[in-house]
Formats: sequence, structure tokens, C-alpha cells
Amino acid sequence: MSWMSATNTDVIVLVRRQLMETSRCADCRHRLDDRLAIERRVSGLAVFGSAYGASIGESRLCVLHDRLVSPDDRCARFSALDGSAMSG
Amino acid sequence: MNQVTSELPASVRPSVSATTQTARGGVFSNEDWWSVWIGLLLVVIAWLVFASGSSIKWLAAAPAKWSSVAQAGADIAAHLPNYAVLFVVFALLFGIASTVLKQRLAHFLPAFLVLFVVSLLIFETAAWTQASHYNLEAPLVALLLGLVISNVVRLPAWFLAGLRVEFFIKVGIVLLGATLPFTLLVWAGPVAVGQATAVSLLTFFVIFFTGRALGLDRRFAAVLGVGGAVCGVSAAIAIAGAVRAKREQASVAITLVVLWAIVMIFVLPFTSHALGLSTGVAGAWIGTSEFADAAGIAAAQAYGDIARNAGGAIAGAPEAAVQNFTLMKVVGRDIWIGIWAFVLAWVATTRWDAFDDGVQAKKVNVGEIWARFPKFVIGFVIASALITWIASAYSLADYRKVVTPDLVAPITALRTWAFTFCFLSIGLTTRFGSLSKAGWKPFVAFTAGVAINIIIGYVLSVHVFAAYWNSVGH
Repeated sequence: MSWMSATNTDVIVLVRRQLMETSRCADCRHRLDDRLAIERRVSGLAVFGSAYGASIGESRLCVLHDRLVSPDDRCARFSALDGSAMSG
Repeated sequence: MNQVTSELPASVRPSVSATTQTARGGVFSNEDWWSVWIGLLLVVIAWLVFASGSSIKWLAAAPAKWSSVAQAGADIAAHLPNYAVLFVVFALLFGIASTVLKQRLAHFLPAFLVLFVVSLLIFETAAWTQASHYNLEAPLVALLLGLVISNVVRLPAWFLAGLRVEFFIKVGIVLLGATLPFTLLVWAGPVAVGQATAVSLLTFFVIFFTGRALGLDRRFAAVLGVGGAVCGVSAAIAIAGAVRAKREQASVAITLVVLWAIVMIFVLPFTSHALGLSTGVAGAWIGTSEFADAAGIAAAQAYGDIARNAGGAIAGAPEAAVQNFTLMKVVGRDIWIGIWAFVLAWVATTRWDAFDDGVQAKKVNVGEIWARFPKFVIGFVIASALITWIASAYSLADYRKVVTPDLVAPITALRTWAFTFCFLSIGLTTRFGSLSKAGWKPFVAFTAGVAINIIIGYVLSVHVFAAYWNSVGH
């Protein structure tokens, strides 16, 4: 597709598709990449486990969905670390 | 960047963040790796000092037996410089790890000082000649004291920074490797794996299908199942991450693991004693039926201490309880956590329902197995191989006369310190009021697994493989 011949709708679709492809949880401000905070939010984790150990891997807490996510997961509510959100 | 995006003008083109390009992990990125480096560094230093004709006995100080308070006080005073140096060494090693892992060093150091001093007092209490008469084994005293303090007094937030239960137990397990012959790992490993696999699979499916029958979500049932079947809290958080469980589901599973693990710390050693089990058999049973490494080590060491003070009434070497526990738990169960995570992540992304909140889980890859692998096991195996290689140059008589007192015994003392930090930390971090309310359905599902786990673990350890575990214990 040539850029000059694209309509506004085409551009919006392309941007949204690309955002879905690049909007990884790793780059989202809703992903709590703070292991101490995870230990505080998951009751009992520090008693016989740790958020600083290997078993948690790259899993982190998404504070929006209150769910553990991996860096390459995605969702429509992505909000970039620099503050730019994906519009609905 | 793909073809579609490359055609967009730069002003509307999404940027690729730095985090997508940075490598994840690394050999200093988690407590598992740090436990390997700290444990192996201590072992290598002990070896180098030993090879130069000396010993680190002066560093690895431990209280002598005492029968009066004056005697205990004199013993502490006499060894005060040794304890001070030992504190500095531990604080330095743990402090470096703490800093690299971006924990608060200013909180960790004073908290660790308190932990060290209280651990010394517990160590000293356990050295009382009448301690065994009152069941004052160091692990149980540390745990009970910690539980009472944390549930009566609200501990300050800075103090919690020093209570790294998992870190201390992993360092202790690496040091434990230096006291186990490598040939024993090779010989006992396959049986441990076979027994642990049978019990783990059965426990998982009992919890999972009981949970499903009670109407629990698949992901929740899986987190509960692996938490009970493999390695407790570590397994629960690993599987919660792999299947993208809700935070509350991970919290409830962890709460149930913590509650049952603490109950088992007391039940398993005293039941083993009542049943007259040898240390080797009891260690294997505890390794099969406890949920968390730290809790199991506490139970196994308590039973070893009971045996040591039983005047020969309990068969087997006292050390055999912790050794067989470790073989069963670490070699037989812990190392499979990455495979459990990989398989359940694959099942969750390909077979189970999509999330209703719009989260799209990425397709699982085999890197998951290594990412969640408990790396401290590598340190445990290397420490075992290193000491076995060193010992191979000595006759059995010289090993007992020279290597054991000057090399192995000081490493064992350092290990006991690490374990005591851990046991005290367990009690101090367990605030029952702050644990999640589990609800009766998860409780029933998990408890069904606990019952199966204990019964099958008992039958395999005490009847099917009793002769085997006894021979390992000797």
C-alpha cells in the first residue's frame, strides 16, 4: 500500500494493528515490574517463596486486570510507559 | 518492524521500547543465582584455606554445649570476635546480592543484624544440655519464636527487608551439597525422581479434579494442584504466572501452602518419632510430603536433632534426615517446576478458555522451562562434585580424621547458620491475619491433595522403598 493513497480509515486501522503488535505488557505502565511490590500484594509470597527467585520468571502483576502476565502478552487496554494509551 | 508499519510516517509510527531489546535474566538477576555464587564462594574459600593447611573453623563458630547460664555467657563472650566476623561476612555477601537485586540495603543490614543476634541466641538455647528434654530443637524454637513475635507485635516494614526465607534456604542447600557425596546423588537420584514423580502426579490430579468438581476455575485449580504437588509457594507463583492466574488465586493457593506447610513442620517429625521411623526413611517421607523447601528442611532438621539426642533410640545417622529430604525434594521434585510451567502454559493457551478481560497470552516456548528452573540446584550439584573430588585424594581414615573436621564440619556449621536465619524468618514473616481468606472450596481441594500426598508418601517411603532409604541413611 502506498502511504499517499491511504485514507484516514486505512491509517487508523494500520496504526491500531501495529499497536496491537507492539503493545506488549513489557512496555505497559499497568505491568508492575517491582518485585518488592509483588511480594506485598500477593499474600504469603515472602513466607516460603520470593518474587526475587527464578520460579516467578518474567511474570509480573498487571494492576489493571489484577492478573499475572508475561512481557510478551498483550491487551486492548495497553497504556505505554511514557503515557500514550491505545485508543479504543 | 513489519512492512505495514514501515510504510507509516515516523510521526505516527509506534516506537520499539528499549525493554524489547534488552536481554532478560542473567546470572545475577535472581536469588537463585546469588545463592549459587555465595554458596560456592564459601565452599571454595573453605577449600583454599584447607589446602593451605588451615581451616575456616574460626569463622564457622557455633555454640558449645552448656549446662548453666554462666557457662553459656562465657561461651558467647569467648567467641564474640568470631561471631562478629561471621556477621560481617554474611552481611557483606547478602548485602551485595540485595543491592544488585535492587532491595533496600539500608533496611536489609540493620534487619539482618537483629536476625543474626536472635539466631545466635536460638543456637545457644539449642546447645543447652537439657534442650532435647523439652524438645527445644533449633528449627522449632526459631519458628515458634518468630510466629509468636510476628503475630503479637506489628513488625516495622524496614525489618521485613532482612527476612529473605527463600534466599537463606537456597544458600543453605548449596552448602548442604558440599556435605553430600556426588556418588550418592547419582545413586539415589533416580529413585528419588521416581517416587517424587508418582506422588506429585497423583497429588496434582487429586487437587485439580477435586477443585474442578467443586466448581473452581481451571487456572485456579492448576495453581492449587502444582502448589501442593511440587514445591509449594515457588510452584504456586510459577504456575500462576504460566497460566496467567488472577492475583487472588495465587494468594489463596499460597495461603493454603503456608498453613499446611507450617502444620507439617510439627506433625511430620513428631509422627515420625511416634512411629519409630529411621532418620533416612523419615527424611524421604518429609521430602515427599512437605510442600516448601524451607518448611521441609525445618521438619527434617528437627527430626535429625531429635534422633541425635535420642541416645540411639532412632535408627540412622542424624544427618540422613536432611540428606534424604533434600534428595527427594530438590532432586525429585523441585527441578521439574519449569516443565510443569511449560506444560500448563501450553494447555492454558491452547485448550482452555480465553480470558474475558481481553488479555492475550503469548504462545508458550520451551525457554519457559529454563527461565523458571531453580538454579540453586546447579550450585548444590557443583558443591557436591567439588567436595567429592577433593575427598577422592584421601583414604577413608584420613577423610574422617582430616577432611571432615577441617573442611566439611565448618561448611556444615555455615549451613546451619543459613538454615537458622531461614527458620526464624519463616516465623517472623508468617502473619496469619494478613493471609488471604481461602474459602472452603479451595481448602477442601487442597486438603484432599495433602491427605493423598501424606498417605502415598508414607507407603512409598516406609514400605516400598524403606530398605533403600535406610541404606542411603547409613
